Amino acid sequence: MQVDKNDLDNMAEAFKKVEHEISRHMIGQKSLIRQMIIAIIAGGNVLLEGVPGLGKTRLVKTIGQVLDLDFSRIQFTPDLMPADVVGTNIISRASEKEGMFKFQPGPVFSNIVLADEINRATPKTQSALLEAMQEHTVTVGSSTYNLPEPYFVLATQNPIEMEGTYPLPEAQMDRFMLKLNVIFPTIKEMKEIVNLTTKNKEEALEKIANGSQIIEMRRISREVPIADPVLEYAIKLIMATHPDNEFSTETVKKYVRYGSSPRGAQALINGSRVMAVLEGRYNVAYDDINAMAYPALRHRIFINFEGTSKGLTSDDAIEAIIKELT
Amino acid sequence: MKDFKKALRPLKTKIHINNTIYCLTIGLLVACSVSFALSLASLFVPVPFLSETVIKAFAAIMIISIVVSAFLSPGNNKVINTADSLGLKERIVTAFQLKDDNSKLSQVQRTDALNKLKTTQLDKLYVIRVEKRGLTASLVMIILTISFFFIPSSTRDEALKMENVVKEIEKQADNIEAEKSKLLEENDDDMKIKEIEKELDKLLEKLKKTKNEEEALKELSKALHDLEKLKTDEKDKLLSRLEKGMESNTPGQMAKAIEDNDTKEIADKMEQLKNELEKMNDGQREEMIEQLKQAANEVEDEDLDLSDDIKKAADNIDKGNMQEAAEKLAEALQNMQKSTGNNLSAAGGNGAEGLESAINAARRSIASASGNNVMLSRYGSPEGQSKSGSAGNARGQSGQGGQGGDGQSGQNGQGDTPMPGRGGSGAGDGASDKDTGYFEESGGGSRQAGEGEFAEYEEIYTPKRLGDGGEITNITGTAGEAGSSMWHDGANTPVESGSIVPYNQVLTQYKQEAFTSIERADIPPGMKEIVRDYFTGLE
Repeated sequence: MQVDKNDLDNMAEAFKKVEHEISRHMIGQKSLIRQMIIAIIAGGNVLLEGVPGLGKTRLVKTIGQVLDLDFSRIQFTPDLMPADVVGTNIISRASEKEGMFKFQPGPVFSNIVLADEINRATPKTQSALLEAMQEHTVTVGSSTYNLPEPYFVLATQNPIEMEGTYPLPEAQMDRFMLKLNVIFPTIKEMKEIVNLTTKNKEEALEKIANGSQIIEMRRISREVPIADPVLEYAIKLIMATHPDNEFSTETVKKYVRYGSSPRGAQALINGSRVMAVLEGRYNVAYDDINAMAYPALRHRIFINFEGTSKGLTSDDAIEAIIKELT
Repeated sequence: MKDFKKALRPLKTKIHINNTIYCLTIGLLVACSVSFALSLASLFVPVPFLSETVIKAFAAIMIISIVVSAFLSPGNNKVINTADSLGLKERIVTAFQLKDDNSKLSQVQRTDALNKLKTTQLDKLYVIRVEKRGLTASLVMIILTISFFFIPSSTRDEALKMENVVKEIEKQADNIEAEKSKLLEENDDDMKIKEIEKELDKLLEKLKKTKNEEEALKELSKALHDLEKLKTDEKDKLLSRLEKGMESNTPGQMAKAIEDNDTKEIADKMEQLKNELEKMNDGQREEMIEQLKQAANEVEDEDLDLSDDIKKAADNIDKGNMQEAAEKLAEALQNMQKSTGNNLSAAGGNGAEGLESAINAARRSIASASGNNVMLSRYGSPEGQSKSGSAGNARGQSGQGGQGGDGQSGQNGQGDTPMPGRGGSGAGDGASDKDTGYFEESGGGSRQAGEGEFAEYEEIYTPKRLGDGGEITNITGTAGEAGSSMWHDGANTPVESGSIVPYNQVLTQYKQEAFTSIERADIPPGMKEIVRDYFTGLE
């Protein structure tokens, strides 16, 4: 079915409503909310990074409610086992006559999975999420189970506590479409947050969309045209993150260890398409690419020791690349 | 897409204007840099016609900039990208890419892009930028360039001198051109005139290309020589045939006698000619008749009388009437002398004389304009040689492309020394600067050349010897070794009584003569002053 103007306009309108509704319940973090919704529509997983208490879990819960999606939360701890995440076969009395075991789905069987403090779990447990995040399936024993659609993993990690944490391996990092930094609220926002969250009763959230609408929005967004020069620009941007590539900048050559994988390009383009619709445009612009470059690439660019010792972040490298290419 | 192009047209025009301004600014910068470099260079090296050169270079660069800027109209891609960068957010480039896509979304995109394009005042958003730094740099360079014009420098004087020379060359070229036209008007059908015209055209062309007096004088001397050669070609050819036929040089000697108007010598040579004709055997006679007939045919087109005389001489030889044959030959030689005399009157009458005068005047004027103290003769021979070079003898023989080095022996032989000067052996006319028709006065021996007695000097450097077949010039005197002079210390030389006089007895006379001599127009004022100071200092 061809996408027409109404589809795009309705999508933009629904998006704005979702955004507005979440913002009503989540003070500040406008950019974070928008990028979260973009990732959900684009069908990607999100890694949220921020100090505790900034409302990461609240945000995820809110999104789940507004989008009328199932929501489950996994608090990652060092002793968390993969079976605690994906589920396990248990002996079932009801099935005694028929057989010994019955599969008990884990918390990943939900539309939105909040993997809280994901870097506290061991790599073995973290990797239990890999299949779910990428394939939207879970394999236990010899059986593979499909996860409900739409399916998102929204993981959080605490950047300041390194003791007893297990940094996510590169392969798992790459499976997150976006990595979003949760910034500390301003005084004004803090005041509003306190006012909002210290009352006996909070305002109820309105359900703006549902799972099938999210899937339709994803379909519509992927039809948004992108001109060749813009696409080439996005590709060059990805290429430039590799220190040994012809497009790489001096900063990248000097301070970057690894650059983005092709998944980075997919994330960049898909995110940019959604962003274009939200901006009321029917085509992708350079600005969309530039805006999406930071969340889509910051966890895919690995700064070397020299860069880290100089306090350089992947955002600095991305900024240098954009400046060089434009 | 027509709607798009129409909507983009104002932007396209504005981009073109911007490109033009940029191009002109760059052109201005380059033009100013070149002007600045020229004016700066003129402080260290002579740059003739500096202001004209600067203006021409400036104008040329600016014209090129204007022409180039006309071709700097932006292409579609440039306009589209610029429009997108002015807030259209890649709508236009996407629309152009989707121009053949008829899906609903593509149509929506195109409509959106066009609406946005129409509502956006691109020509106002696009700002024309002026390269202020470039303009400032240009202005600074213009000021510096102009200020350099007012800085006094010795190179400026040299440049001015060079300018005068070039102007003089042009002026003299015009004069020669005028004389040429006059000559052509008077003798438009003459074959010889056509050859002269050809020579003159060659000269004028070369003169226009020359940028210094040395080259110009060389060309003028060469032209004069070529004209002279042109005149004497027939004479030489005829004499050559006669001498070949008779196997004797009597015809040449007779021609010389006719030229010198030596009646006695003419009579002697005619008698000698008659005798030699009578002594010829049949084979020689046949050869002689054949040579004369060929000579007659060769000159028939240009001089019918001369041709008749030669034919009659041939007939008389054939008939055995040697007396009449000798007379006719003498007559022919005389006619030939008339027709190919020492001026071009035979070919062009007064016009030709004017032409010769014009070339000589040109040489004098150019030499004078160059500021050198020069002396000129007809062929640029070193007339500056003193005839008082007592026994200075030279037996010059020009070789093929002789370098003329030995030719300087003429100067060695000159001077006041009473001892015999040794003449050089070479009269080569090659690369010596004397071929240019002048030389700078430097030696004491040349002092006496200021008398203006050019005609009395031996022309041992005549350029007509150039490349010739080793023609010999005989100069009276005792032959000596090449290129060196002998000298003695006068203090121990026995002096004849009365040969030395106190200088104060002759000073007044010499001074008077010197002052008279330096009044000549072609002696630069500076040199006159030196002569005056010298004699004043002796008092």
